[in-house]
Amino acid sequence: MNEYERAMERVKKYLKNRTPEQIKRDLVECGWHEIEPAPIPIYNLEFNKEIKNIKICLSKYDFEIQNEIKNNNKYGYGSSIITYSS
Amino acid sequence: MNYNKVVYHGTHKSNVNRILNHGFNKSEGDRHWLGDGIYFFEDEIHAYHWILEKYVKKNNSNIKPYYLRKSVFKDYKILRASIKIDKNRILDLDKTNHYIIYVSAYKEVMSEIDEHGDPVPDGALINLLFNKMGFNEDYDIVKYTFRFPKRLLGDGYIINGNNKPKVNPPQTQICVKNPNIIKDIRIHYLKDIDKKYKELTILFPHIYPPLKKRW
Repeated sequence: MNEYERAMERVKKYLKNRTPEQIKRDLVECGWHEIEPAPIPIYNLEFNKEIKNIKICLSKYDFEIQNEIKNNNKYGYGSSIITYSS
Repeated sequence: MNYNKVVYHGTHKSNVNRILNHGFNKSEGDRHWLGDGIYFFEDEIHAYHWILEKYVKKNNSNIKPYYLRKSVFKDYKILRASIKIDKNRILDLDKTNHYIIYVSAYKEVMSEIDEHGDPVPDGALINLLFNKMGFNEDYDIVKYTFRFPKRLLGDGYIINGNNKPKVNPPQTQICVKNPNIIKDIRIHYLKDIDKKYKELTILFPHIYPPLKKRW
């Protein structure tokens, strides 16, 4: 069994023994609603939350960055996030 | 293959004695993007940046950081520690094969809960892997190199409106899940603070103005 298979076996074994509600409870216990999404997440299915987070963090420079967003959609690694938020 | 490195951790001086005498406590935090654990930087410059940011925010955000580049050490310290483990014990999300494991796990979990509301932050998912699925049996560390949008670090001090980097330089964070692998903790003293500060002005020019000539 390779590393990927071993890891996925752990994941599947866990999921098999939990209902969706139990998984949600576990996630809450693991910080679902407490840990902030990273400014540029490692992986995140949802872009909307990222945009919200960036706007909160940028309160002081919101005006300035909004101008920059308008002028420059290519924002490096996070380009998709910034483009959507404009 | 071993991972054999000195790593760096910024902290308030009030924590130093406890850490030196009893070791690090695993901590939880809302910015723990790699989940619960003990966080280190691979580069001392990021630990220096971290304590300067804390110090600036706590004291007076109107004071330019170069005035604080030395006084920060009155309140904050950088600790160093040695970590030597088998590389296979690291969930290294910079490595493609580990990133694939992580994303696959994320997708599996999300497909089970069919959640369209609040997205699951990486830190919570990683906690789920380690605390509920047993990844702690295979890995002692989660490692990832973040590239943050430049304005998300610090409160500003933007000095040049035309020549700004789009993202901050890479910042490798290490989240230690197993405190037993942390060895030889001690206070780390920067050899040449002005030289280090100069590095900060290169890495984060939008936060750190250059030193004036009189220094």
